[in-house]
Amino acid sequence: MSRRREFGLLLLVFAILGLGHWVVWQAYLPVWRAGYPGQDWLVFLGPALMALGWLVLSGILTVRRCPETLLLPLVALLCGIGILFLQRLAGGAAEAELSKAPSLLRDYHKQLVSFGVGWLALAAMLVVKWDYRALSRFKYSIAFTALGLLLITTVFGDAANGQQLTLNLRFIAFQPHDPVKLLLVVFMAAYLAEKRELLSFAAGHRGLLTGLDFRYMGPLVVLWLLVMAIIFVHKDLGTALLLFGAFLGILYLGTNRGRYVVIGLLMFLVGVGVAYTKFERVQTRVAIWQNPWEDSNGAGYQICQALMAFGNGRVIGAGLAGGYPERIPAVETDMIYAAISEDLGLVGAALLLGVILTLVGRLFHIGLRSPDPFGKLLAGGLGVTLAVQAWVILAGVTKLIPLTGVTLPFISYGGTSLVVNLALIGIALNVAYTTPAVDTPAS
Amino acid sequence: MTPLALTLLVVSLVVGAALCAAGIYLRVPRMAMLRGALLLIFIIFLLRLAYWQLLQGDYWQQMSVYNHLRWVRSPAPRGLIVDRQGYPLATNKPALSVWLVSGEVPRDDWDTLLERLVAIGLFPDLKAARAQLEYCHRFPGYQPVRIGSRLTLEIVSRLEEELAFLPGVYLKIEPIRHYPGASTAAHIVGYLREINAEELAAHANAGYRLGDLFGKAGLEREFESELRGMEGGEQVEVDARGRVLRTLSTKPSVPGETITLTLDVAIQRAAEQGLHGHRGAAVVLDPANGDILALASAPAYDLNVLSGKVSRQMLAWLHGSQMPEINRATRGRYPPGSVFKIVTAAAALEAGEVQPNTYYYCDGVYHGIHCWKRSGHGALSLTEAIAHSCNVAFMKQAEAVGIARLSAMGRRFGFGATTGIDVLRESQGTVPDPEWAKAHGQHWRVGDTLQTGIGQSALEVTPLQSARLIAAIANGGKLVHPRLVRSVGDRQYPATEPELIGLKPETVRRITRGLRAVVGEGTARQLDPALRIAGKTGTAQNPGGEDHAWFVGYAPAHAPRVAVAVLVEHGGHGGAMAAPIVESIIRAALQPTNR
Ligand SMILES: [Zn+2]
Repeated sequence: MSRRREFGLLLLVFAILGLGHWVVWQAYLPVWRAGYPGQDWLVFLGPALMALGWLVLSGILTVRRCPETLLLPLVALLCGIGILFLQRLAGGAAEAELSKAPSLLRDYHKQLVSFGVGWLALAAMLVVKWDYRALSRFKYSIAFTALGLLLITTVFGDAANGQQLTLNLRFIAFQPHDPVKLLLVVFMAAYLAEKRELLSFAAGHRGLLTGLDFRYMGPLVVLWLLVMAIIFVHKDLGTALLLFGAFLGILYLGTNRGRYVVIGLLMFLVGVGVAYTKFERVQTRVAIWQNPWEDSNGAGYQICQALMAFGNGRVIGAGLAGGYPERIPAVETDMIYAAISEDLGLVGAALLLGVILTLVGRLFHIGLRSPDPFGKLLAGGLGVTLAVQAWVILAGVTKLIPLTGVTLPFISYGGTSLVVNLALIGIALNVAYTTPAVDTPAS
Repeated sequence: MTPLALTLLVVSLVVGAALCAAGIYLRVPRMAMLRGALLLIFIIFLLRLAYWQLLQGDYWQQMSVYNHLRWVRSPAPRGLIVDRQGYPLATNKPALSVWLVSGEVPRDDWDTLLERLVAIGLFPDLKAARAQLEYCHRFPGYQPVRIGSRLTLEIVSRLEEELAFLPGVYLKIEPIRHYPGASTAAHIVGYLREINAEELAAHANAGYRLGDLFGKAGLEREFESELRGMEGGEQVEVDARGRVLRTLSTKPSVPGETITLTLDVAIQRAAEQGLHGHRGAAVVLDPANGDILALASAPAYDLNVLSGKVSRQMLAWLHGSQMPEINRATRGRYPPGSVFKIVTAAAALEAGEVQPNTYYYCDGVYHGIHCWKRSGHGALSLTEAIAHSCNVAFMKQAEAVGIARLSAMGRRFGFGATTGIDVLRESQGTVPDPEWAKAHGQHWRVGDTLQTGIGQSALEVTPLQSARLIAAIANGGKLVHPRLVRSVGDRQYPATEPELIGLKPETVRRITRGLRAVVGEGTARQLDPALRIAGKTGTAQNPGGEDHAWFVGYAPAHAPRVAVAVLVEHGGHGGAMAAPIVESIIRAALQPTNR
């Protein structure tokens, strides 16, 4: 019964995206015909393959009797919007004869390939009979893998593109901060789930600093150090913020102690304050954030163009392919939400936000229904991670906080991010396998 | 940060804290707490988004659709390069240039625009115009790219007439580099060209953009970062036609630093005039402290021409056999010829080989090497040997001293090493000895020692080194450290105290007596006695053809104020060719109006 609902929702998603692709196709057909041979019909191939991929996954879930039916359509919609807008931006740039048009088109194709890789990972995780609880046993290996990745990146990393650190191996280049994020969340959930029983006795402390438990303070301090290292060595404020936010969320879920969150926040603020005084780069970022108009054709150009895009979008937007967000630098990565807001307006942007939040809520839901403490923490933690990541980049785009180079999950251009986030969904669905099939009230 | 955003942030923090406290008090389940917290921060974000799209929407929409924000760069005036009296060698003057903002040109109008620009005369033909267009497309559409500078009046007036029909094209007044002296001190001052891709990559963090000017040679290159200053600009709102509606913010530019040289333009000009029509170099030093009063290399070139569009003929000449871009004064390596006899004499005197009653007999040839006077000079004292530049006398001195002590004396006078002016490229030159010969796969013969004594064999010196030699005699045996830059901005570059090179006062006195006799009765006796020049001619044989003409001298002989070295490539006899140039330089240097 419920599997049918998933199928129906997927068809709805495909209908929405198909309509979008048709509009974009209509808008840029002359451009493709004029200068990009083959592109006029190729635009439908990728999305069609993606749709097929989702249907196959849905079939796998049906065979494995997975009770979760909402996750797949939500992720399909988000991935589809990302691909749709990449194509739309490439077309817009080509129409405006911007020099970045070919590279945007290349990014579009690369993103399709990344999706293919992510899909394979996801499909493998759904087909193979493994149990997410195995992750708990390997938690220290996982933590060390994350540390190793960070260390390797410190030595061999290449920060050529400004903010997102890239590890360039011979055949493949990726942003190691994305997998590190996932590995650390898994580790945190496993660690806290294991120490959880030990803690049921320690209760009744009222003060902020009295009765702090080393079992929580230990990892808190270690992770704080790690995050500080990411800020100070890798100079990636966005990933640091997202990691620490996600970590505090999991810590709270695992301990039910608000004081750790408060202490963690204070520690983070101290670290950021030190980074601000020590690094000119951070100061520049903050200065751009506070007053982008100072040099709106230089460093502040990006954020000013984004604000213009918001202004041009208004309530219902300029219409898909109606605005011109392609002028915004890095629109395909950091600024994708500004492009969506310009074309689809406040309404479209809010709806998209709703989809993201529903996805996060769904992960929480899986966590609540999981009979196993590790599963609860894991699914909840993954939800918090996605939520914090989305918030960090969205708040940056709207000049609420300084702009960082974090991707908007599933939507921004970026292969590593897409693959990692699809793997994250794979883990979440694996947790969902173990939840009871019938809807029961949340405990 | 806008007050509204700040208020929003503070209010939301307070509300959030209150909600959290309430949640804890009411023992709300943790998952619900977390959901609430996340929902709260996303509501804040949504409010922020609504703020931009609704409240501030009008403003930004206007910005994006009807108006444009543009950062109008105001380049910093480049620092001046002035001589010791403040006379400018490199300065700035305003000039018109044409800029293109490619993003403002409608796609269908490109061809029309190009044709118009060709018709106006900005480009010779459509092909050239199209090439420039390709260049513009390498930049973001909003960024103005310079497509023409140093325009003729005719082109400017026609551009101004048609500007309304040229979308994206703007005229701009910007300071351009001007060299009032044209070719004065050309090799020292250097020139600017538009920055190229490699330089741009090498100075990626210095904020250069394509189209910016960059020091390509001389001090313009050496002091690029000091001369450049800090660019400023204005944030302006412009309408669709590019007219400025209002200025939003201004950042003043910081002018580049002024570089004050030790040069004296009057002396520099005299040196250049003297060399005019020849290939060669002239160096004028203050023997008391090593200040470079003039340093000229010929042929020179007009720096204003080199800063603009360089014609094909000019380019061919620049890279041709005359090698005008080589600063011959510091990089040219020449056999010193008889100028080196000063060193030979110093070595012989220091070794005690020349007593006041020592006479040399010249019968015109020694060990098969001829004196320039084939019939021979007869008996000569040291003074007479210097005055008449007798080869036989100095070959005998060299033989008596030996190559080890002779080459050591050459090095004490600074030969075979750079003089240490960091700001100009220098050659070391060569002081040969048996070890040098061995390193170059040759055998050192007695004849080589004799040839070295008269400034031939493999000896190579630069005009600057020769000027240092004569300055050392003029100041009583102290080797000066040449200084070209006196100050950069507020920073002084103090002169380095000259170093005694350990000559006996008697040595210097006896060489001085010889140098005075050169002008009084010797190889340069035609020079004006009123100037009281003391010096030494040199006529250096070289494999390239006609002899190089040298003269090194100082004046006034009793209280030297300038030390001069002049070399004329293939100029023939030093006394006939180089000495008159030195005379004219010294005349200019000692003129009362100049000092
Ligand atoms: Zn002789």
